[in-house]
Amino acid sequence: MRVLSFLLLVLLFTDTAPSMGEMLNSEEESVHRQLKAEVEMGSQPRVYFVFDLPAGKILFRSSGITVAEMPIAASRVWGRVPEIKIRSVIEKHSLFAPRRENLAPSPRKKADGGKFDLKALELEDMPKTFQLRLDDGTRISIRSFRPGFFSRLLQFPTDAFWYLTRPLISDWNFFHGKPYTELLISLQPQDVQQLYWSMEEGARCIVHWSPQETRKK
Amino acid sequence: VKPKMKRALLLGILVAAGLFALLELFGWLLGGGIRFGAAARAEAERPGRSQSLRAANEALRNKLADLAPHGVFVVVDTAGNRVYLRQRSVVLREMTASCGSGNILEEPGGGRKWVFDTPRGQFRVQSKTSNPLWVKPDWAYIEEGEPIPKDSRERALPGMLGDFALGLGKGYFIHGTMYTRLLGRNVSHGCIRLGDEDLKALVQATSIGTKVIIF
Repeated sequence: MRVLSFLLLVLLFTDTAPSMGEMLNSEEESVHRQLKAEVEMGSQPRVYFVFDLPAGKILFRSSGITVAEMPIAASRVWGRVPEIKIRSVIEKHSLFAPRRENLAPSPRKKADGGKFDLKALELEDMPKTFQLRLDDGTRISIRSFRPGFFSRLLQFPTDAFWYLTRPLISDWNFFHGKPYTELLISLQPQDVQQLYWSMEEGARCIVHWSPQETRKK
Repeated sequence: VKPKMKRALLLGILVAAGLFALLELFGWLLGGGIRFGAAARAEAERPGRSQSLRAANEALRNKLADLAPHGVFVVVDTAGNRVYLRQRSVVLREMTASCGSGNILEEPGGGRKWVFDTPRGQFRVQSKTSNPLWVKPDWAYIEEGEPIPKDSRERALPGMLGDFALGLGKGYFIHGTMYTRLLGRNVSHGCIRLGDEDLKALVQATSIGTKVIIF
C-alpha cells in the first residue's frame, strides 16, 4: 500500500504528455527566443556559438551567418531544460589543458638544414574532452566520439558511471537549492579540439533545446 | 554473537542499498524534469498566440538576414590556419595562412608582456598598402635579445610583410611572408600571413570596409 501511494505521488508530480497545440506553440516559442537572442548577438561584432540540438549541429556564427559548423555525433541531456537565452561561458575546464609557451629572449637562430624548432600552440595540442560551465549553471560536457563496436563496448563503463552519478549530482544540487542541467555532446575528435580552441571563456552562446528534450533520455 | 553480527551487517547493507536506491530514484525524477509549471502551459495554449509568434519570428528572420554582410567578406579560421573569401555561403577562394602562435613574451626585468594570439571577432579592412614597411615593434627587439633603437626610422624594414598588407586595426594585418614553408602552422605574432598569390587575390577582391570574421 505504501509503495502504491509513493508511486501515485511520483506520477502526480511527473509531467504528462503534452497536447499537439502545446507542442506546436512551445516549438514556435523556442524558435522565437532563439531568433531574438541571435538578432541581439548578431548585432555585435563578435563570433557566437549555437548548439542546435534539433539539427544536430554546433554553429559558429557572426552577423547572423554561419562561418563554420560541426556535426554532433550524439547528445544527451540531463536535468531540466533552461530557458533559451544568451549564455556566457564562465569556465572552460579540462584535465589536460594546453599550456602556452613562454619565450626566452635570445638572438634569432638560423634554420638548421630545413629543420625549425617550432614553439606554438596548435590545434593538436588541444584536449579531446572538456567541460564548459555557463553563467546559468548549465554544464556542457564535450567528448570525442569513437565509432565502432569495440569503442562502444569500452564506452559502456563510462556511460554507466554517467547515468549512476547524474541522479546523485541532481540530488546534491536540489538540496542546495540549485537546478542541475548537463548537456553531453559527442563530436569527432578534431571538432572537439576546434571547439576548445574557438570557445574562450567569456564566449557567448545559445543552446537550442528541442521542446521534447526533457523526455529524451 | 556471530549470527547477531551477521544480521546487523546484512541490515546495514540493506539500509545503505535502500538509501542509495532512493537517492537514485529521486535524482532520476529530478533529472527527468519534474515540471510544476501549470502557468507556462496555460500561456502556451493561449489561442491566437501561435499565429502572432509565427509573424514575429518571420520579422526576426528578416532582421537577422539584414545583418549578414553584403558582398564579399573574409573568414579566418585561426585553428586550421585557413582564410576563406566568401560571398554569402559560397566560398570563392580558400587559402592557407599562418596565424598567431599563442606564445607569451615577457620583457626581462618585468614590465610588459605580449601574448601572440590572433584576435578573434569581427573586423573590417581599414587600410590597403602596397610594398608595406614593417615598423619593427618593441617585442621583436626583445624577442631577439636586441636593444630597442631610439630613432624610430631605424625600425622601418622593407620586404618583411610581402607585397601587400591589409590593416585590420590595433596593429594587426593580413600580409605576405618570407616563411612560406610555415604556411599552415601557427607561427605568427598575431598577424595573418598569406602566400603571395593568395594575398594578391585577396587584395583585389576586398575593399576598405570589407568584413573580416576571425574565429
